[in-house]
Amino acid sequence: MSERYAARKVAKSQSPAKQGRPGATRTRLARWSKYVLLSAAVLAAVTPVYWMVTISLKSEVDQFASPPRWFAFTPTLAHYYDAFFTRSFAKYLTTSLTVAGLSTICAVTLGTLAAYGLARFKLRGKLDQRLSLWILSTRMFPPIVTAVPLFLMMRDLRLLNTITSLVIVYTALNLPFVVWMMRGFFRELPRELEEAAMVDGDSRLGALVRVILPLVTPGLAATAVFCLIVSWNEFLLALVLTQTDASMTLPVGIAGRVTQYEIKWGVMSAAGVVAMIPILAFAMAVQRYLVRGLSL
Amino acid sequence: MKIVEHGERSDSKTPMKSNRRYANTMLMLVAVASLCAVLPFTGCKSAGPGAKQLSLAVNSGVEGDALKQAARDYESLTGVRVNIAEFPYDNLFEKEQIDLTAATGAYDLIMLDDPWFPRFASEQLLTDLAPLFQKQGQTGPDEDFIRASIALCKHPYETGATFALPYVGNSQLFFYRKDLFEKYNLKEPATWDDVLTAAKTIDEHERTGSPGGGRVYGYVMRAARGNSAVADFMPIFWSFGGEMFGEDHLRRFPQPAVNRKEAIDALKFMIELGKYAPNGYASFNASEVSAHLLQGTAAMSINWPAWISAFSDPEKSRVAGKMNFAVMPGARTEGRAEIGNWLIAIPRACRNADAAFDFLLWATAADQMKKSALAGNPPTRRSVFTDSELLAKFPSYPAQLRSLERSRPRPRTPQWNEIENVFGIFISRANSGELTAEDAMNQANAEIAKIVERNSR
Repeated sequence: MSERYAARKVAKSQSPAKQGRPGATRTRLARWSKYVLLSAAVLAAVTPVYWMVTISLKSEVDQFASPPRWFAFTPTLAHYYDAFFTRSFAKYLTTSLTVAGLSTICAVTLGTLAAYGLARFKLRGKLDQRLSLWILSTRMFPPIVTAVPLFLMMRDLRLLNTITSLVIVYTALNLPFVVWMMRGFFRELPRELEEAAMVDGDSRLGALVRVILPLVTPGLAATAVFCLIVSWNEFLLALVLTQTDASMTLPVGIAGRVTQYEIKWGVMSAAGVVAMIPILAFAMAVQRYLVRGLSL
Repeated sequence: MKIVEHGERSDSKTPMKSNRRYANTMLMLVAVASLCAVLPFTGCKSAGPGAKQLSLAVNSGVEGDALKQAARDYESLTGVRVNIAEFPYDNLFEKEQIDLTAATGAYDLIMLDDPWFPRFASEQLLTDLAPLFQKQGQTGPDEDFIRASIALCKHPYETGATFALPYVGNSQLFFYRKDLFEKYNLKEPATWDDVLTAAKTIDEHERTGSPGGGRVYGYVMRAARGNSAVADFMPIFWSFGGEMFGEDHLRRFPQPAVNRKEAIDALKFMIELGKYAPNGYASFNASEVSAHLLQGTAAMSINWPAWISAFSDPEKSRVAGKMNFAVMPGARTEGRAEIGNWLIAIPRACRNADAAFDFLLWATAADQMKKSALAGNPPTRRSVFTDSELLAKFPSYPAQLRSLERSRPRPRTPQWNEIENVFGIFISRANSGELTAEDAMNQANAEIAKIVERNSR
């Protein structure tokens, strides 16, 4: 609606006299080409999801039918049953939820505090700036180089095959991101806000919690969604650190369906569809903050 | 260190009181965090040597599932706790390689695909089973095991000491559509020439004969780079008299012989057969080949036993009940399939070798193997192949047994992974028309020679 309104406004400004035919045609053309482009973008985004959902509902014989059966097939829930009742995907889902949830909470809490410190205080010898860069530098190397050291550390700590190990690692993985995102948000807020609160007798932490944090909620929401997505989809470190049914996360469980001779597309898609739901739900819940957070 | 707010002058003499409080809070957090990090060190200790438990690395898939079930049964039977670590096929090798080389002793038993065995055995990473057999009053693996499978578990191949026992007995089979063969009066192909004739006939007559109304291709094969192309080429290569290495093949670093006439003829034949295969077969993997067979759009192929059951299930195949499974066709020599067995071995660094061996014997005994077979894994014991209950459930067992007995292993060299990769690239490029058969084999030979040379230094 708003786009159409905008387009009309443009049309008006371009051709003040309504009879200006060439201008109107050009505008209509522009509008249509915009719709075509937008439709193509929507199609490109939705088709893979549609394909995954339908594969999860098709029997094997329909999955590989040529020409592909887009709509005309008999749906079956066999793959969902196989994944969540015969196999341990329900357990993997719980593990993933716990790990992603806990690590997001840890990363956002610790990262926000650090970001606030780095945004508001100066340390001697520009240490605050150097610290920020140092924190970011931990994201500059590919995660694979940390895989073996992490494995050895977790083995010595006897934390292999535990949810704790994944929460620690994912928190560490997400911290630099949270610190940099939140530092940016804090810097944009005038310091007078918390000074006013402190003049009124609030502590520094109180001012942060009661005055500053509510103002950066959109930023927090956007950061949390990113952390959640990273922890939710992380595969490499989860594969290295966990191997038992009790500690495996969804991405590792799904990858296990690529077997030596055969790829179990049905089960993988069923698990993939279910794996989308929590992230979708969370993203929808914080959607109204999200757009603001991303454009802050 | 003095902490000062941004915007303030650093020489300010009256830092806000709350600044200090903030610094204190942060200090406290750091202290708590350090304490958390130290706690696990002071916490639990590992179970002592008296604790009865085993750890096992298995492959994700039907083979690993069967061994997992066996482990659970063993647990309830003996009280020995079996911890299972499960990895996707693509990651299992590297995981075991790291663990065995570092001698961490993390696993008491490992499942391994047979081409990995020469690498592990030649680097002395596995436990020799002979002393363990002696302790049990046995001289070695019993005679019920298929010879081709037991040969894989020995280093050097067939003649050396036993370092593993075979658990799953896969070997390739020749799949063909019996309805189409009957329709055109074709006999079960005994030679690759029969295959070519049948492919031509079916391809010409079945332009609209598939269940979807489309073309039925005479033949379909995997020719994607890497393992795929090599696996589908080896039976043709061997039957034409091709050999990966020359007369010095028993030496530690033999010279490759894939550019000899027999080998080039075999590749030319594969390309000829490719004329009756679907477009783009030079990039096909197992999924594409199986999709064509299951959809009824291809009449013949080489495939693995894991796919047999799908052809009796109308949910999975549009040509259910119409597929036959036969031994590999021959050419200048007898047809031989590639063997692909899953073995179980005890790493050298294992600290509970006796307990591990007990489980190994138990899991590979006939009654346990029958359970694994019922779950869909081809056995490695003759008595299980001839079990009446299993024969009724798996009518293809006689063909599978014949194929397994006549099968050949991939060349037993520790560098096989590297060689297969390079060989696969050139076979695939020849099939896609990028190189002639001669050029492909000459270049492959040169590259394989380089790999051997590099490793001999």
